[in-house]
Amino acid sequence: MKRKTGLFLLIVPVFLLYFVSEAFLRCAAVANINPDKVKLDNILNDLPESIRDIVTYRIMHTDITNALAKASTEEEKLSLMAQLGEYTRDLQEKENIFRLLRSKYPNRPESAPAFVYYFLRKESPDQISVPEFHKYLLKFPQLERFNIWAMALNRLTQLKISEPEKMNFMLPLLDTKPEYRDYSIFYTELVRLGTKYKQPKIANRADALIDESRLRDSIAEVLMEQEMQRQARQTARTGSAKKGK
Amino acid sequence: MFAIALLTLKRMREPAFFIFLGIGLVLAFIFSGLDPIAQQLSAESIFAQVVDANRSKSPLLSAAFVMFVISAFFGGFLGAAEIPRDISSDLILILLSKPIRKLSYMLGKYLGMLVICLALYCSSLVIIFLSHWIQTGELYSMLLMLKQLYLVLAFLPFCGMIIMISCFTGELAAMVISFIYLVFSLSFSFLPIAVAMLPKGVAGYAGAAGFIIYYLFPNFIFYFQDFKMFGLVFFMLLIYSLSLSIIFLLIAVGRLETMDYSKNSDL
Repeated sequence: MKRKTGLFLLIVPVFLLYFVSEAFLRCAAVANINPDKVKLDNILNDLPESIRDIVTYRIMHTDITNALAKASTEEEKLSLMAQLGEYTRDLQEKENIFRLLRSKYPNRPESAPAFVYYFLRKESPDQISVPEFHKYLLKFPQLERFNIWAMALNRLTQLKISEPEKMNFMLPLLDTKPEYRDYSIFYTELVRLGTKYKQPKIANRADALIDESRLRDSIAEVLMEQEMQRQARQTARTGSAKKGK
Repeated sequence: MFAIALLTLKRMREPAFFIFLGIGLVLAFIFSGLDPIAQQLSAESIFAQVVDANRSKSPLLSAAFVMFVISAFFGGFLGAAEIPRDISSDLILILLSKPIRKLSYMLGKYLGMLVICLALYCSSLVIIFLSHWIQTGELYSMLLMLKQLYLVLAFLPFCGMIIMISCFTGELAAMVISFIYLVFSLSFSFLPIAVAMLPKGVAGYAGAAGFIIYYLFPNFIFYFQDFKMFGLVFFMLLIYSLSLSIIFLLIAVGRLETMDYSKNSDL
């Protein structure tokens, strides 16, 4: 009994001293660090991997949420909402965001992640079928449509959909004249699938469209040009405003 | 207790010790020309700032840091096998049949291992200081030499940790588990500092869970941090080392008290 009491009387102060000294040394170590010199990446790199992943997720989630709160235009707001919906690991939050985007903004290209999320999602009562997805997709000009096609094809790959089904999904591409060089990737895939599954009509038509798409500008070039024109307009506007003053 | 320590120190007469000592001294000579550790690291890294915060004028030498790691490795290698070997050879039964308490036996082993580690580290330091003197014609300042000796404190919990692990496992397993435990303790060492640097609330439950795991390991980063000589940090470092060593040794004693030695005997 005496021994146990003695052991207890030793253990308690030892642990107390351990925790006090550890806390003190921790504060001393933190005080050595100049926060201005340390980048967030360096801090994250020093964390154990399992914790780093959770912390990175929380930082990113907070950043997107903050940006969403500050967003001024509807376009910006919708694209940040879609980004948050894609990024969040909270299924309820994801469902809420995507449901809102799908129901309230079905005519906006920014809602594409929501439509892709529900696309062929059998476990969801809100699943979107191929014709429904085509209906949404074909609302937009080719510039915006390209990314939606890419996202949908990525989703089909995740779902491990058979290649003939994938080919059928891509068929509306054959009815559109490509306006951008980037579309050649889809047509190349259609040529491959058409040849593999003995559909010469599809393969030949896609092959002809590859040639046509190669004559067009790439989306990146077009966007860059649009951005330059926008900047030039802005500069001209600022210049005329200064002259007016 | 001292008799057991002397028994452990007999390992210093074995060829293995001389081989390790020889390797250690050669490495100390090779590394003696390195710049202080803070200059070897990126100024933006957390470790560089913990190591060099301009609080003391005596930096931690890279050579001393490297030799600390090597001495700990060699010392751990020699010390981890001590208790498992005594158990497997039934020497422990003979020793404990004499008027020696299990606590004294364990403290003796601890002291013996500590002396082995210190012998390796201090002799390496002597070589580092001497080679600097030979190369530059100048001796390091007294304070700088003392600063390198602060790492001696890190051997207190380190030896306790090795002794504790060796009470639970066999010779080889003790070495392997000690190494794994050390790797984990180093990977969790930065956790409290990094969490403190993050925006409030970001770490959340992951930070809290990390802290629980963190407390299961000694934090060796504290021994490398920059602080004023003979200040409060030094005092706290001493308390930290002693309390942590006592915790490890108490666990080891608890294990020795409840162990059935006959089951682990090779005979």
